[in-house]
Amino acid sequence: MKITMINGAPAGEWVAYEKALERLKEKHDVDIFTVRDLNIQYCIGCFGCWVKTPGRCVHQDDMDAILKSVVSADLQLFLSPAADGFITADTKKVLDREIPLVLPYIRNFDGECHHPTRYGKQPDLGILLMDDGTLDDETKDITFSIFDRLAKNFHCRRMIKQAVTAETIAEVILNEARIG
Amino acid sequence: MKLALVNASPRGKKSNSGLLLKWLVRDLPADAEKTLVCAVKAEDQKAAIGQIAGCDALVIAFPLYTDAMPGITKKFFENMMESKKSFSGKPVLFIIHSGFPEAVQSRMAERYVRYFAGLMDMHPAECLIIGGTEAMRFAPEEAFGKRANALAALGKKFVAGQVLTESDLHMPGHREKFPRAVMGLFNVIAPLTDVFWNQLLKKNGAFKKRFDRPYQ
Repeated sequence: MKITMINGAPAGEWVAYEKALERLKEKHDVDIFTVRDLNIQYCIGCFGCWVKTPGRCVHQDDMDAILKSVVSADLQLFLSPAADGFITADTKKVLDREIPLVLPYIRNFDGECHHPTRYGKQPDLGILLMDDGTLDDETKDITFSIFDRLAKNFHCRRMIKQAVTAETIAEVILNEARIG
Repeated sequence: MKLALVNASPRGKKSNSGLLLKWLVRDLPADAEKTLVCAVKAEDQKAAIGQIAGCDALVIAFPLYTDAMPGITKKFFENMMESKKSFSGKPVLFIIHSGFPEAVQSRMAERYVRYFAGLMDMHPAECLIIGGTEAMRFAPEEAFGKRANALAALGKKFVAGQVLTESDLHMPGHREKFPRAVMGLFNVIAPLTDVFWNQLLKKNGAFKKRFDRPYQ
């Protein structure tokens, strides 16, 4: 399985999770993008990726490599600790920069307005919240609910939502990959 | 009353968030003290938060990006949390707006900002959702007179510390979700709405590339 993994954790305390991810590479084709080490600008809402250079952002940065990986992936997984009740700003900025994956047009999908996809099939989507023991139920529920909406907007077939520890993260992903 | 206005749009001063905030304060008394800050650059956010730390109430406006706040707005929230004491106990009004016409698209983001307000110990916390705001960039302000008037009335009530009702928080034309019959009709007329985007594509000489897949 081809997996694109976006790691939006800050440096330091989450290193055990990151080491655990190395196990995945033995069984799957995994691209891991650690946002803090990359040059990725925030989306500025210019819609250039829709109306000036369709499919491409005006920012020329490391997001190119992520989008290239995503369009050929079977599964895109976001990995983030909770920061004030939601994913980190680093994780969110990658999500924002994925709007080139949809078209500007609006259509009716299941009774709501959504954008059609640019590439046809979208990879399955997942959010793994890193749980160091302080993750609360409300943060989990809000984050998972927002990702449910994202899965709708990005037309993803399957949505994975889990809280993970450094000990469970690799096994959770391997299990989900088996199901997928 | 010192009112802090946070334009948390990545588009900055020329954003729809900025326009909504302008309408919100339009009918406030001339001597009402207002401080407007932008959150558009991460490196400027802590200074902006310092500017509004002495406020009595806040309004934070941002557009919906991929079903939540934009990344740069989330960064602002994280920076605000570091100055939690400055905002504790103060009322806050969030304005979440979106190009999508239905409010349902923004309800999960609303749930988040209400939770965030709780973490910040800010209360009362209110949230206004406005759909269909992208058209505001391309039409004269006069075309949105009803919306501007409703926002100005809301601004006065918020600053006066009055309880905001559901009807205060529903702008003219508010739609939670469209009825099935309307969406059925939308299937027929949807291609007509493409005209807006196609005009922009043509203006930029990009119409023929509109379905390009550059990463495939």
